[in-house]
Amino acid sequence: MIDRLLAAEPVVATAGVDLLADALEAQGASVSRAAWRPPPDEVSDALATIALHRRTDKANRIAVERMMGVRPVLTGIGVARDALGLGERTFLHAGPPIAWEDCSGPMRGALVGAMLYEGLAASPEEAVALGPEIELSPCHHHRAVGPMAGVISPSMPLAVVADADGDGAAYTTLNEGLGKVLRYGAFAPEVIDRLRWMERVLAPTLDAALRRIDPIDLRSLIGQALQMGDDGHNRNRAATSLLLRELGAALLEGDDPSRDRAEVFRFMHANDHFMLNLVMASAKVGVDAASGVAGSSLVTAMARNGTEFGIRVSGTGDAWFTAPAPEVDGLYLGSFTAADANPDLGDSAITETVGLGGFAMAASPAIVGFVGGTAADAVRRTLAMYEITLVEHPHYRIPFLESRGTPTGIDAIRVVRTGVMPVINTGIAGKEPGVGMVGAGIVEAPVACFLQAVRALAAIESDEEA
Amino acid sequence: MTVSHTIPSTTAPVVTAAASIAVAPLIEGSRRSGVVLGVSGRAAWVGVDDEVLLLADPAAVRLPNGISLGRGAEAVRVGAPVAVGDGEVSISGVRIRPLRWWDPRPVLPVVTESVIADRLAAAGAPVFGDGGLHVALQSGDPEQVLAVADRLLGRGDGLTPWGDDLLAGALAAHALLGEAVGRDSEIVGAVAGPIGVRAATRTTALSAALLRHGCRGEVADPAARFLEALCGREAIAPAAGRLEAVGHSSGPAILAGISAGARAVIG
Amino acid sequence: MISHVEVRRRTYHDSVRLMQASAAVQRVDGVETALVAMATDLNLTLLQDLGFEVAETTPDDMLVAVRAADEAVIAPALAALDAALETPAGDGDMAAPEPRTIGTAAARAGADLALISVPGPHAFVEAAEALASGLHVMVFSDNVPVHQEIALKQQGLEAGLLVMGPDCGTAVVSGLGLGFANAVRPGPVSLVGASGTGIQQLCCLLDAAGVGVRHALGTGSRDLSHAVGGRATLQALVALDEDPATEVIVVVSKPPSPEVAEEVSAAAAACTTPTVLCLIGESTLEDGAAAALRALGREPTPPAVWPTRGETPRQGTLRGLFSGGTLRDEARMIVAGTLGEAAAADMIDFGDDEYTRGRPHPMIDQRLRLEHLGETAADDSIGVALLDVVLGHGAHPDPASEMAPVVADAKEVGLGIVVSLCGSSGDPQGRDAQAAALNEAGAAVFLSNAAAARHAVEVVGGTR
Repeated sequence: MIDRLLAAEPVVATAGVDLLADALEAQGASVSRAAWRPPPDEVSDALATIALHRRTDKANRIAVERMMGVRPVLTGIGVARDALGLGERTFLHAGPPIAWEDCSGPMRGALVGAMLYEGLAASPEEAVALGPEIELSPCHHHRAVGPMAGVISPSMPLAVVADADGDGAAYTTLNEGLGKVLRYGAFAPEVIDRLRWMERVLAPTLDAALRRIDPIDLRSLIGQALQMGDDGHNRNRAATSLLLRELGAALLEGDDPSRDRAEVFRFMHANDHFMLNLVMASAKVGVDAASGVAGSSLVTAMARNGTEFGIRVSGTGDAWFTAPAPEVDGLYLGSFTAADANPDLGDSAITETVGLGGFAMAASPAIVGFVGGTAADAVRRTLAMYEITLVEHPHYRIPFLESRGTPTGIDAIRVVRTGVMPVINTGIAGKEPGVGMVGAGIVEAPVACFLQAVRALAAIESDEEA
Repeated sequence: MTVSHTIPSTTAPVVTAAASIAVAPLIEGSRRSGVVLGVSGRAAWVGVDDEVLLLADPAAVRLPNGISLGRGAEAVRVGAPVAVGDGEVSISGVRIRPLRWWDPRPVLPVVTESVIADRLAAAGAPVFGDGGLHVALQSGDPEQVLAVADRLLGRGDGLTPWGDDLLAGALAAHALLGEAVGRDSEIVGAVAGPIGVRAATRTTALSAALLRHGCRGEVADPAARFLEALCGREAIAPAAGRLEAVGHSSGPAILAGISAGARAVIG
Repeated sequence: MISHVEVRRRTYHDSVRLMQASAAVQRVDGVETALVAMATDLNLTLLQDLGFEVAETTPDDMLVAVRAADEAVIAPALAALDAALETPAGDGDMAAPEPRTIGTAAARAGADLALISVPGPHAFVEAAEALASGLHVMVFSDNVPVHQEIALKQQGLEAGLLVMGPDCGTAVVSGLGLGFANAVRPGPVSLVGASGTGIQQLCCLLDAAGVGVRHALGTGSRDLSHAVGGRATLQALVALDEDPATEVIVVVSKPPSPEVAEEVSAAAAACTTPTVLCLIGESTLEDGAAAALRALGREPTPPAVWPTRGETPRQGTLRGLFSGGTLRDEARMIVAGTLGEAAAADMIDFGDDEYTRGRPHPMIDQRLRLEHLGETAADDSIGVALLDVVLGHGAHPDPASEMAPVVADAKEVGLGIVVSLCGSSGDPQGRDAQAAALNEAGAAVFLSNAAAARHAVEVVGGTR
C-alpha cells in the first residue's frame, strides 16, 4: 500500500545506471544494487511479451508444486520389454532424439554393446552394420532415464520408481559400476558378461529383496545423503551406502543362493554410483508431474545424447530445444586428456533440474575439485544457482548453508535474463567407441537452448492472444 | 562553548550523509569542537556540548541524533577530536556533510482515544513492565513522574540502559499521542528540563541525549512507525515486531514505554 | 624410460583430489604417464593396462605410479604430488554472487522501492518483476512503449503499489531524492505530477522561501496523457491526501489531455488537504509555488536574481537550450505569449528522447548542449540564449565549471545569456557558488524559470 511507502524512508533496490545508485548512497541511503546486464537481443521482445501476459509466476508455482508434490519410492525391478512395452528392435537412449548417423562414439559403442547383449549381432562389425535399422527413441519419451549413453534395450532390467503419493512412475537401468561399462560406450565381452549377470542374478535377487520390505523412500534417502556429503550426481557414496542398509536384512532373508546374495552385496558395495540411476528416476517422476503447465517456464529436462544438449520446459510440453553438446571442463583418469573426451552426454543432468548435482555442490566438499578446487568455489556455485531457480528444496538441504534448501526448479526465463547458466556435474566418456569413462568434471548448459525455449513460450502467449 | 582552532583543509575527503533534522542546528551552526566518545561495529558516537551525534551505517536504525553515512566512511578512533559546524562534521581528516535530512518527529493523524485503545490491545502486552510510568503520567503530577524517573534513570546495561529507553518512549508517546487526540502534554513539558539535568549525571551521554530528544517527541524510526500504527496508519503487529527487534533491550523497552505513555493518554 | 611405483599404506584421499594430484604430476616436465589412485580393483586394472608392475595392496592403500624419461624426474614429480595433496589455498570468499535482477536485489535488502534505469526496451520486464515482488517502482528509463506503461500502472493499481514513470526523472520520498532531485528539507508540502523539472523547480522555489518538502512523486511524462489517463497521478494524490504530515499538495504537470485534466481537477477538489493545481500553460511554476506558500499562510517573495550590469547584447532572435522539458515548455509559453509563436520556435529540449538515445542525459553530460551554445554564439542572427542549469542529486557535480567559459566566450561576441538556475540551498553543487560563477562569466541568473524567460523576452524585445 502506498501509505507504507510514504510513511518511512524507503530501502531502494536499483537496476541500471550506477550513477543513480551512487546518488542514493551519497544521501546516506540503504541501497541494494542488481548487477543487471541486458539479455540477448533475440529474446528481449519475447521476455516483454511473457511479462505482459503475467501468467508465468502462477504457472510456475503450479508446476513446482507438482514437481515437489511427488514422493518417489523404489518398488521393484522389472524388465524393459514389459515395463515400457519396447519392441525387439527399439533401443532407448539418453538426451534428445538422434539418428544413428549422428551418434557420437560412446553412443554408438553403447548401442553396439546393447545389440551384442540382445543377440541381434554376433560381432561389433555386424552390430555397426545393423545400426541404421534399429529404432532409436529418447528414454525421456518413455518415462525413463539413463546415465551417460542411457541405452535401454528390451531385455534389460529396470528399477521401478513410483510416486507414493500419486500415480506417476519412472524407470531406469541398474548401474553397472565404473571403468569399462556400456553406458560409457564400452562393449568388450566383460561388459556384456556383466550385463548378463545383472539380468540373471542382480535383478531377481534385488527384486525379491524389495518385495519383502516396504517401498524404499528415495526422497528421504537422498535428503540424508546430502547431509553426508553427496551431491546426488557425481557423488552417491553416502546414498548407495544408505540404500544397502535399507536392503541388508531383506537380502539376508532371501532364499536365493547365498553366493548370489553375497555377490549382489559385493557388487553394490564396490559401486559408489549404484544410487545415481535411482536418484535420476526419482527426479524423472517429479519433472514428468510438472510437465505441460500452460505458461510455465520451469525446466523439466536437461539431457544430452553426446551430440546435442536438449532441454524441455513445462509450458511447451514435449518439445525439445537443442544446441550442440558442450565440452566438459574436467579432470581425467590415468593418462587420458581432454583430447580423448566426448562432448557432454547423458540424462543424468536431470538431477540438476531437481536441485541436486551442480546445484547441491555446497553439500559435497569431497568433489569440489571439479569446480576449481576450493570449498568456497563450491559454495559460490550453489549460491549462484538460487538466482535462476524458483524455490528452495524442502527435503534436500545443505548443512553448511544453515540447512538452506538446495536451489530447485530452473526457470528458463531467469536463465536468459541473468545469463547465469545451470551448472552440471558430470562424468566424461571417451570419444572413441569402446573406451569407457575417461574423467569427470563440470559443464554449463548451453544458453541457446534456453533462448529457443523462451521464444517458444512467448510465441504461445502471442498465439493465444490472437 | 568552544570554537575550533583548526580549520580543515578544503581538500580533505568529503563523505556525504543523511542526518536527523533535529541535529541540523548543531551541524549548521558555528564551528564547535567535540570528541569521539565510542565506537562499536559500524557506528561511532561523538559528544559535542550536551548533544551526542551517532554516526552509523545506512542500514542502521535511524535515530533522532543520527547521521547516516554514505560511501567512503572510514573507521574512527575513540578520543579522536571532532569539529562540528558550518554544515559538516570533521573527524580524522574526513569531512562528513549531510546532503539530506530526515525528521525524527512523526506527524500523527488526528485520532480518537478509542482507536489508540483498540490498537494497543491488538499489540499485546509488552515484555517489560512500565515501572509505574503509566500511573504517574496519568496523575498529571510532575513530582510523581520525576519520582518514577529517578528509579528508572540509568537502570540496565549497555549504551542505552533499558530504564532510559522506557522513560524516553513513554515521554515521547505521551507528547505525540496527546497531540494526536487534541491535548497538549503539559506534563512532558514540565519534566523535560529536570529529567535532562538528572540524566546528565545518571546515565551514558548517548542515552541522556536520546532521552532529551524523546521529551521533544523525536524517536527512532521503528518507534515512529509503531506510533503511527497506534493511530491506525499501518498494521500494528509487524510494526511492533520491528520495534522489538531493535538492539538488545532497547526495542522492547521503548515499546513498553510507548505503551505506558499511550495508556496514560487514553486514560 | 623408468617406472616408479610406490604404495602408500593406509593413506586415503578422495578420488577428485587424487585426479587433481595425477594431473599435477602429469604436468611435471619429463613425466610421460602418472596415476595416483586408491588401490581398488578397478584402479589396479587400470595400472596394469598402463604397463606398471603392481605389488600386494589393500583398497585402503594409495598407489603412486610415474613413468618418466629418467630418474631425475621422479623427485620433482613426487614433490608435485605432495604439493597437490596439500590443502589448496582457497580465498574462503563464500559471499553470494551479486544479484542479477531487481527482484533478487530487493529480496536481499528487504527493499520496498525499485529504481529502474535499464535501457527502455528492457525496463518493462524488470519493473513487472518489482511489482510482482511487492515493490513500488520508479522507472527512470525512457523509450518504454505506452502499452507497457499502462500495463505496469494497472498492475500497480491492483496491488496498491505506485508506479512512477516510465520516463520519470524525479522523485523525493521522505526526503530521499531519486533520479534528478534537489536536496530539500523535510516540510509540509508534497508534490505530485507528470513533470520532472516542474517538480524540481517547485522544490527549489519552496526551499528558497524556507519551506521544506515531504514527498515529491513524479509519475512519468505521459501519465496525464489520454492513453495513460493519469492513473499514477490520481493514485498518488489520494495517498498524499491521507498522509498526515502533508499540509499542502501541489499537482504539477505539462499541459495534460483535457479530459484527464478535468479528472485530476476533480480529484484535487475532493482532497481534504489544501491542493494547488499547477498546470503549465494555465499558470507558471512560480505561481504554483506562491499558491502553495499562501496555502501555508506565508506571503511569497520574489525568488533570487543574479543580474548582469547594464550592457546591451547584440540584436537578434531568442534561442532556448534546455535540459529540462517542463522548464523549456514553460519558457516557450511565456515567450510565445508576449512575442508570438514564431519567436518561440527555436527552443530545444536536450532531454528529449531524440537527443538522449545512446547518450547520457544533458543534466549529466553537458557537452552537446555546450556545443550548441558555441554555435549559437557564432550565429549573428541570434541575440539571446536562454539556458537552464539543473542542480541536485544525480546531476553534473559542477556544471558551471564547464559552462562558464563557454558563456564568457559567447559574451565576447555579444550574445546575451540568461540562465534559469534550478537549485536548492542544500544541493551538493553549491547553488550560490554556481550562480556566482555563471554570473561572473556574464550570464544573468534567475532562480525562477519564468522570471528568466520574462527577462529573455525583455532583452530580445528591447533590442529590436
